Formats: sequence, C-alpha cells, structure tokens
Amino acid sequence: MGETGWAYELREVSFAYHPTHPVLHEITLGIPSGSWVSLVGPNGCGKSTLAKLLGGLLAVNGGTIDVEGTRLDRESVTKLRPRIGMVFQNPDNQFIGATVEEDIAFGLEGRNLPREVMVNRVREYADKLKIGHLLKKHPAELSGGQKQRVAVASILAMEPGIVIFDEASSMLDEKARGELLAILRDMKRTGRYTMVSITHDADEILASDRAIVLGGGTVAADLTPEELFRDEVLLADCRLIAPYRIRLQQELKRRGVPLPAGWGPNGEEEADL
Amino acid sequence: MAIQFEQVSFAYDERSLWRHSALEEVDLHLADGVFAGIAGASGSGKSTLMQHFNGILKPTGGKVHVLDVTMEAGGQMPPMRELRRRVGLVFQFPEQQLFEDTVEKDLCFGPLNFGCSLSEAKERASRALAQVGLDDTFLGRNPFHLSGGQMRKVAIASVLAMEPDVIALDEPTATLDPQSRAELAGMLSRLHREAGKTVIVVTHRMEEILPYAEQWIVMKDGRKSFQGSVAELVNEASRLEAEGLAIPACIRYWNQAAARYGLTGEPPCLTAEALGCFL
Repeated sequence: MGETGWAYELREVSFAYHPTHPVLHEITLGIPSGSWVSLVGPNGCGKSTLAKLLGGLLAVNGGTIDVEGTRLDRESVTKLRPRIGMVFQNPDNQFIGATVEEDIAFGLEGRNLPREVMVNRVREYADKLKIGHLLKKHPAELSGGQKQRVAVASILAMEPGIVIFDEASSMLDEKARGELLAILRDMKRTGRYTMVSITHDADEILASDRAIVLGGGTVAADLTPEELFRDEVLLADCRLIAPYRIRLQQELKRRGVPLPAGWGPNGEEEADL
Repeated sequence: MAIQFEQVSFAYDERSLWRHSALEEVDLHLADGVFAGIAGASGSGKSTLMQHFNGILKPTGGKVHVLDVTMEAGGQMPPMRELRRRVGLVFQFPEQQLFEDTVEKDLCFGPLNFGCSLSEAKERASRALAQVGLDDTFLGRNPFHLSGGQMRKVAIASVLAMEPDVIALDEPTATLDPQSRAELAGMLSRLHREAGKTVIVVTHRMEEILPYAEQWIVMKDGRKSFQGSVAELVNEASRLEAEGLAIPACIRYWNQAAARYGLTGEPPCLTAEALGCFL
C-alpha cells in the first residue's frame, strides 16, 4: 500500500494519440489505496486510454501521475509496473502458456523468482481462483470463464497492489460474469488491492465504491454507483441502463407502492439502496 | 414450419480420435415468422445448432428440415445455394467480416454474388440499411470509421441485403454498451413485426430479448432442455436455474411477486413498468 494513502494521484493529465485529436484533457483525480473505482462513459470517451496511462502502457503528454507516491515516468515505469496488473477483455488474447500452469508461471519467470516460490505461488493462486484442477489443461480445453480466471490468477500471482480490469467481463456468459464479479468482490474484501474497473456492467459498477464518468475528454462526474444509477441524464450520456432491481424500485416509488419487505432474490441483490 | 429438427445429433471430427459430440438427439420446431431466443451456457451447443439452419453444418444423426430443404444424416445432401440466400446467419462479432472501403460496397457484395444487377444490389443495400435504422448517408462511409454499434448494424444489414426469410444471429449484442444492446434488440423486433422475418437470436443475456421473443429454446450439454413460450419459461425457471441457466432478474422478481400475491398462472409481467403497474 502506498505510504501516501493514494494508489493514484493524477494532476492535469492530458493525452492525444494525434496532436489534433486530444483524448484526455487535464484530468485531475485521486484514487485511495484499497478502493475500487469504476471508470464509465460512452465508447470512445477515453476510458481504455486512461487505463493504459494508469498501467504505464502509455505515457502522458501533459500533467503528472503518481503511483503510490512515486512519479510515473520513463525512469520509474519499470519499477512501478510490477505493482500494477491488467486484465483485458478477450481471455484468448491473454493466454501465453501451453497449459494453465505455464500461463500463471509466465509472469513469475519474468521476475526471475526461485523455482519453489513460483511453484507455491502458482498453486496458491490457482486454488484461490478455483482452477487448481485445471493446471495441466491446454487453453483450448477451457471455457471463456475459466480462461478469464486463469488471466486473473496470472495477474494476482505477481502480487500487484493495483489491478485494472478493462472490460474483463464483457465477453463472458452470464454465469461466468457472475463468477468473475464474485472474484472481484473477494479481492475487495481482502483490502489488499486497489481496483479500477472499466465496465458497462451494471452489477460490476454497483459493487464498486465509486464511479468516475468520463466525457468530453475529462471527468464529467465523480459519484457513488447508486447516485449514477439514479441519474437518468448521466446514464443516457454513458449509454448505461440501470439494473432491473433499481428500475423496479424507481417504478414502484413513482407509483407510491412500497417495496415489499425483504424483496430481492439472491445475495448481494438484496442490499437495499 | 420454418425449421424442424428430428433427433438431430452432431459430432465434430466424427471419424477421428478427437470426436466431440456437440448436439445429441435434438427435436426442434420453429414456425414461420416466429421470434425465438436460444439460451444456454457456453459450450451447450447453441452456435452448433444455429449453424445447421443453413447447412454450414450438416447433421451426423437425424434430419434437419429448413424451409423446403431436408438434410438427413448419411443421405444425399440437397443443393445449398438457395437455402443460404433464404437463411441469413449473423456470426459473433460480424463486424470483423466487413472488408470493403464503403458501406455500400459491403452491402452489395452478397446480392452481386447471388446474381443481382448493380442497380438492384444498390437498391437492396439502401433498403437493408433502412431496416437496421441507418440512413443513406452511411452508404458512402468507410465501415471501419463507424462506432462499434453502427458497424454491428451494417454487418447485420449485409445479411439482410440478401433478403432472407429467416435470419439467425449468434450473440448479436455481445460487447456493445447497454443502450446499443437495447437498440439492437428493438431493431430485430421491428424486422420481425414489420418485415415478417423469422428471427432467431442466440443469446447469453435473455433479458434483452425477453420483451420480444415468443419462443425460447434452452440448450444444455448438447441437448435441448427446454422449448416453449415465455410463460412456460417463467414456470420452469427454477428447474432451468438448478440446471445452471442464469435466470434474468425480471423473471425472478415476477415469480416472487406471483408467489406472494397468488398470481401464478397470470401472464408474466417482465418489465419494471408492467410489474409496477400490476402491484
């Protein structure tokens, strides 16, 4: 955890792929260590670009980014990058090894860790993500959801303090999406990770602590997920739709019908807003 | 009947050591002009099933009837050309199949290959574009400069330009933002209502087409585990959930409301507005 208490401090961060087309303009924001932030906004608003800047994959054109109190720049990036893990949209594009075991070990080998440390880490994180029985499997033998678990395991095995999920659930089926969300919630509960989710998924946004809305290259709103899902104008701008439970609650409220007590099937959905 | 399956089985690499059975003894019947949804977990056989609709895959067991064509395992296969025109398949991420430098050229490609004149192909291109809710200003644009949702619509229009009677789409809304997904589902419903097409949608997100689909098929491990109306689907939700199907929130809430207020047997209200009205 950063000594400053901040995982990220961004000051007037600007970025353009081409000088005539700025993508991000003077963004200033802070992300406390241990928090879970959703980055939302319409396609093309710069969410993934911001994620790449946060991950040190792109360098800012203007402004500064501090990661856990250290300025992210050409010199520090190689030292900071191991603190940051990224999970992307397509699980197929992230599979490197010929087996699950090799895939999880790949990043660790790059760190030149002793063999027994690697073996233990692979086992530990495979068990945590419930893929211990798949270690000898080839990627072609896995479902999309299983592959995404492998991707998360390979990132967490490197023990980063910050994990960025770039639309990590958007190619998964409903069941696998629910399972990935459960993993994210578990990660949050450990308090060991600062998490940044780029997502359109209402359940994922609701599970996070805070929603940062990007629009026009800057931070258009910074609010709680509940506030976001009750703001119809902002939802339309972000091209999001509130989850059924919230839409139903709003509809009943509009009609003056009290929400039946205890109504809300299944676990997390029962939490009343 | 637009599509009928009789005890259809399909195995990939049928004659090799790596034989993998993807469909097992599936019976299926879909009437002309129906809007149907096919649901089920990844690997349950949904896409394999869909690829039988225009003979891309042929059954390794049983019989498939599509429109006036019959494909029987082990039998002589009929000519497929006309079937391929009449049954349009839209694969996952269809925008990856766009390749021309203008939308119009992409939309004309299919009709021209099926023998249309250039002027007829252009008329069809314009009509198909209108059907997906885009106007003629898109014809001259480069498809690769469009947004993800627009590219998806153009790719669907390129299938519609063939003027098929049946259109089957494999997860057409995948990876689009929630509002684009809702718009696309509404567009498919219009195609069904206004153009009288038989529309079949393979989907992981049942709630998106629940307001429109009249028939549902649920696949599990290569077998059909359910076929019926929305009301029947709602009645069988707990069994299907126990079998691993992700049941949409609107069905779970309706079933709770039905149990609580004695509404079992009533036509289900599956939108927040309809349920709010009812309570």
